[in-house]
Amino acid sequence: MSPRRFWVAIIVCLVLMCAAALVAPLIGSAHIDYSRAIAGESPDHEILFLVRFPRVLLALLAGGTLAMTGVLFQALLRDSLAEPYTLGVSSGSALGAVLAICLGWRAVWPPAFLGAAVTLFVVLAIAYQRHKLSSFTLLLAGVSINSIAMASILFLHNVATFSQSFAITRWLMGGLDSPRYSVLGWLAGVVLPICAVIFWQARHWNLMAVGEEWAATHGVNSSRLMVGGYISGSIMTAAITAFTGPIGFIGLIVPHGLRLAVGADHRVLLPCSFFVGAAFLVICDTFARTLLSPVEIPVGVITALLGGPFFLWLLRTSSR
Amino acid sequence: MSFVLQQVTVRYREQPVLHEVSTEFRPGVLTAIVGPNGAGKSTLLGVMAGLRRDFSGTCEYGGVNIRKWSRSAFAKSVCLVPQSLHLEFPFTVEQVVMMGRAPHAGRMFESDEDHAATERAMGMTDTLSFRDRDFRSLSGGERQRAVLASALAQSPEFLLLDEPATFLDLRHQVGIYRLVREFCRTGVGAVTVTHDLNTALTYADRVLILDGGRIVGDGLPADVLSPVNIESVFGVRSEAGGGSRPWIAYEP
Repeated sequence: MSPRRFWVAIIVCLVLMCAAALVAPLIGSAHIDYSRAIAGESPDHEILFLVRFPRVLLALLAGGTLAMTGVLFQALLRDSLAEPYTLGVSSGSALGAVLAICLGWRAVWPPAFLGAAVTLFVVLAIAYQRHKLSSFTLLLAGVSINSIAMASILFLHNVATFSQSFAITRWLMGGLDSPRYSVLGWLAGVVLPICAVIFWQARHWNLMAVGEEWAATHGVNSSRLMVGGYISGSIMTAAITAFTGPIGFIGLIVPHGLRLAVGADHRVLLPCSFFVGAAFLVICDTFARTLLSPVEIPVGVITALLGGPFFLWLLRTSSR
Repeated sequence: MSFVLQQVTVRYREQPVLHEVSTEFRPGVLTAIVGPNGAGKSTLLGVMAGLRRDFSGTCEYGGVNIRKWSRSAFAKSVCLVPQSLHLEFPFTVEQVVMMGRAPHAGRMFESDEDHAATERAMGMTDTLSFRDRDFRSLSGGERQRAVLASALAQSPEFLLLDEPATFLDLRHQVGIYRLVREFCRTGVGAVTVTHDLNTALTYADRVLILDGGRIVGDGLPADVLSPVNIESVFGVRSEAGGGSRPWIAYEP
């Protein structure tokens, strides 16, 4: 890959992300102006900096991370249908969150994160045998844990009260809120360094996307790369899901769309996925909070409704 | 550098797949490993490529146990051409060939030397004409040539080939083995697994017959691939002839 091609793709995707991040906060039921908000005039200042901007930042982090994790898990499993939620971590997270709602706990994200962590270690313990991680066993273990967690969620949902049931349904649909900047800082501190490490290993992920043996015979410790990739992707998914609930489709549609545009080379695919995934979720969230304003649609519904037809159109176009 | 194997045994669920195999593979020699299905040919190649660590005995490369080689240093010197390669993602042929440079390349972008090695390898394997095509759209033979190009781009000192001509037409079969033989003349070592005894007879400097995980024949092709050995290992009656251009014909 030529450096020129790399930088052109990166800059285009980065500009797209920045444009989405700058325009989205201006859209909403209340009209605001950047100059008034920056000058500290009320209510523009409060709406921008306390409500819309934190939410856009969360959407950027969540969308970028989920898209990049999608690329990572697809390469790791060599399965183009893999996404951040394939290996059970989000189900573990959901189980933790649902349990917290049923127990009446106010903070949902700590148990959600704990549930994801437990799932990560259970799947890893099953799939890691004889100092080797098999992608096939990993996939089967992940899918099995997924089923068990989903069955448990259904059980809890069944015994929950009416208000708890509503809260569970809302959480499972996935949604964005306006978090405190300290929370955003914490989240960015967890996911961005991991994203940087994954990008740093992009050439190794190219080899792994071809096969474990292919990677091993090209100088890569494939077992270590797989364990590291699985743990990294799971931590990223867990961190995001704990705050947003499961937001589907981004980890699938963004990597696929980008492969058609920039190719399969992970050196360009990974960073571009982050930028485009971030932009995509910001746009979807803008629709989510404005389409039926003042009623908010869960953003997971929008990602599926926008992403599904777009994905089908891409498939149709690419197969011609 | 040579491969030296001593008492190498591999078991699969207590069943020995390779049984106390001791042999040596030297640089500049093209060795063909032949034998019936399940004889342990690919397993032997897997041990030498460093893919299998579950063996007893020792396998040394360049006088150093292959378990002690760093993976990147080993990959710069030894290259495995797999039997087939199936991709899930739309890598181009050039990208697949360029992957051969991975052990040599820096972290992010390829050097001019990497590009030159890739061009050279694609030229030698007749793959330049479809360099920009999606690897998944290629025929079996084209894929195999691209994989061989990737191996050559790796600039190895030792080539391990697992049935490299399986999907190739006659012209490209001949082309591949000529190319590998030419490489051997420059001091590169090569070990190829093949089911085609005439190919082994024509191009190999040495033939090693594996049967039931044991070496049952080792030596010059014309000596080892005798009708007696072929019948005892494969259960097929054959006739050999040729002189300077030996051949094997199987009884219909």
